Amino acid sequence: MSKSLLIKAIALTAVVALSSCGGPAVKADNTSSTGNNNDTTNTDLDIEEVKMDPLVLPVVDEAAEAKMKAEQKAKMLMDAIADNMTVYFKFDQSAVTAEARDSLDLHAEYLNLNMDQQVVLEGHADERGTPEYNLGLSERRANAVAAYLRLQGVNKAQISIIAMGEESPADFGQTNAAHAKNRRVEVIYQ
Amino acid sequence: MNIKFLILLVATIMSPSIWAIDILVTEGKAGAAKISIVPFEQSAPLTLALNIDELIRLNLNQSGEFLALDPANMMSQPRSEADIYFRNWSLLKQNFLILGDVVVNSAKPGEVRISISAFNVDTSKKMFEEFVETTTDEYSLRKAGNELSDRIYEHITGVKGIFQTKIAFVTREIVGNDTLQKIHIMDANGENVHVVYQDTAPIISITWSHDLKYIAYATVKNGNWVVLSQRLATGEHFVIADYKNATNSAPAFSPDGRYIAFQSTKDGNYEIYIKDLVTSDVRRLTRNRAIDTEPSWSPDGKKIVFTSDRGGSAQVYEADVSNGRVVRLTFDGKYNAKPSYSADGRYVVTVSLQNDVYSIAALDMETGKMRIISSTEFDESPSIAPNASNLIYATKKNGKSVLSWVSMDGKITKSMPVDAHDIREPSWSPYNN
Repeated sequence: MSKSLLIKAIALTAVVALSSCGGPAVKADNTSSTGNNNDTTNTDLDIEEVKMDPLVLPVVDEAAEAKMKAEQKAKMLMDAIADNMTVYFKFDQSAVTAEARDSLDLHAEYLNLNMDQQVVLEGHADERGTPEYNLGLSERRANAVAAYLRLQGVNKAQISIIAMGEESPADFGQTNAAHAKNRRVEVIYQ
Repeated sequence: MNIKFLILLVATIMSPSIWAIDILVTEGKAGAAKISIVPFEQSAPLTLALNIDELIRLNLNQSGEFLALDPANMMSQPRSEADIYFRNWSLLKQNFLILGDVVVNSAKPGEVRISISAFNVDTSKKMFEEFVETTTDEYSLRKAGNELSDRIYEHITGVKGIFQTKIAFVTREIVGNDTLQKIHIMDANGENVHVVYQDTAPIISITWSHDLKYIAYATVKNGNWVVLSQRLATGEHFVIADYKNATNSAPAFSPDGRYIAFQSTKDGNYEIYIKDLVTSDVRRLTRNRAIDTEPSWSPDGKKIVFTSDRGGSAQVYEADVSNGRVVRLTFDGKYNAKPSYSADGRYVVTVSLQNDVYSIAALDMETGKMRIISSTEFDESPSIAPNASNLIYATKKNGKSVLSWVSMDGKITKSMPVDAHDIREPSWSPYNN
């Protein structure tokens, strides 16, 4: 699956996730966009509202605010995740690097917030070495990522893995830079 | 991109039984033996779909061990022993001379008998005679020509020829967002290429059955790596291993064709299993937390060599098929993988990473010593002919995918462009037993 497809898949998932937070999907969507973008125009309205019935406001706001916060958080997470769909490994290594952990923490947070979300961890190796051993190495990388996510509280049932060995390079080149791009685990939301 | 193929140590590495070319070069002459194959006599009404003597010249040339004279440069083309003037062939510095004829088989209509006689130019003596009987279609003639090539090769070198063996390889083409993989099979000389399977899923680990009637490989079906075998004559598929939520790969037929070893994670980790193709029983051979994969049988079917990183890096181990007892075989270098036995069982050949360069190394099972046979700038693991006289390689040349045959003196004897984005590791069949 291409990266753009993956991002689309996440966006779709996010809409579903948001709508399941409560209230009709369309309303939730509208609220979040006004909440984010129309701060100045909202001020007038707020003042008017205060004038009309200041006592009712706190009750309504508490729920809406919490919802908005959750939605904003989800959106921020999604944006952050979109730039972290792949984690990389050192040559012949399957240890999750510090940099990869930062990426995976975002995924863990997202998966913990969305318990129905399924994720596939697709392990890859660079072309050096034999295809069959590389299959094993790529699976070990996917397993290492799965283990890390589970340590962050992600439910085992949300995670599946597949090893792709050296069969699906991100970069067909034969340079060290190309090899580094190919030693990876792709995080794919389904 | 150029192949840099450095033969570091050649004929001296292995026993004369496989590197017999040194024997051939017998009488102290260095380099390829010079052989003249006179265009075959044909009884008048025959039109053959294939030129047999041309095929034999191509085969012998490609072995790297013979240099066949172009008929245009022959001073004469004798029809029988009585017509031969050995001095003429001596002047052309020829070592061997082959005469042949194709005669309609009066006993079997539609068949021909192809007979050859071989002469040693130095001694002016006849060496041997051979014949094959065949129908006259291209397929049968090609088979007959390859068989005769094998007989000539074996008579002269003392080593079994490889001209009746086959090679499989996978090409990868990029079509839109997909990659299309095709399995091709061909004769050892690169002729007679056929596509036998294609899919958008990756295909690895192509291997041959002992009788060359089946290939087996690993591919992805419904998000799962599975091992399939395919009957080449009919294209039928048989499932060897399709354990769910598991990775199944690296098939290897036993030398008698009854069993197939493969790798699976069906019990949670990369282990090697053996399936009985008659009873379908599967038993586990290895038991370890590391990656165990790439099994390959010894010629007597009693041992399996495989790759394992149980010691911290990928190394070659050998398991006793009867009791599963495992010994480590390689200690040199930080990576030794994809082992396979030589046809006589004396050597285990492996892809070896030494000083950051991927090499082909041969481990002498008698002395325990490992020697590098070849080094390559890239990791394109070659496949070795069953008599270890040649390697085949997939590489790129001026951006084009090519298959290259390399003889053991390091010479590229043939380069064949293939129309594809890239070629995956080719796989040379065993002898047809």
